Amino acid sequence: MVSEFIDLMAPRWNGKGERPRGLLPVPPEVEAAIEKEEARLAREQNIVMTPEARQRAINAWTLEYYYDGHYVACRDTMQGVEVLAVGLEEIGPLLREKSQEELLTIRVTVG
Amino acid sequence: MSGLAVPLIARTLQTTGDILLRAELDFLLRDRSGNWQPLTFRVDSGTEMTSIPADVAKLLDLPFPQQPMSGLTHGPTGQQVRAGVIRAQVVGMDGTEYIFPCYFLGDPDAPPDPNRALTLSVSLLGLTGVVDKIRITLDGTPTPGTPNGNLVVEKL
Repeated sequence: MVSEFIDLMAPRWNGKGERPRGLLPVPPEVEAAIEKEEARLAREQNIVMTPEARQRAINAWTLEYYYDGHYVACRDTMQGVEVLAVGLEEIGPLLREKSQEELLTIRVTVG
Repeated sequence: MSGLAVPLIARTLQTTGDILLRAELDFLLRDRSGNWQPLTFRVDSGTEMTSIPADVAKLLDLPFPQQPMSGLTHGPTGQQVRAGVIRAQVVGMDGTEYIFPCYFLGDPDAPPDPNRALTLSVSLLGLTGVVDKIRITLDGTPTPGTPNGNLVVEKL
């Protein structure tokens, strides 16, 4: 049984309510959290994140920032995470119009 | 490739500052037309049976039984259960098509509920009929490329 801890202090739960599509802008809160995490890793693990690991974390946390708990169809890129559709009612038609080749580049996940 | 390392995903709770880890694995699932549809599963060693919300399965056009099982409900949620299988490839591995038992939870025709709890939304990869086909290891050893460690998946 999946655990679900709802963070009432997190941005989504404070009700900003932004739901951008396309390449997601990285919120200042995520930039700050990444810097804090980098400092923690350096201090506690003596680790400097690779650029790929840093981008992966930015993508995951940005998606979570806007879409925590919501189904999205998205693509990870080195420029950021690109949201193609949100919610089952949008994702269904999107998947039906994509070719098999295009589907292999898309993730359907809960943000 | 018969093995795969997938970085564990972390999130920071603003309330406590705690860093919470989760393991996710991307799959391709064969639909009714024979095409592959993408779906991310949460890997959950505490889950007995792999499950997918039935409305998500319908959206992806996955084959599943029309009728729910009589006398069986999903304990934590009380949802109806359809017992079937999924035909699945692990994204990033060698293309092997696995057949995993799967329970499809809830009413596939229920209207979308944007406020549905996460526990009712996430597709879970459980143990039954899975761990005899792929070995799943959680390794929290931090590295520069994977600062929170890895989910390691190997073909058996």
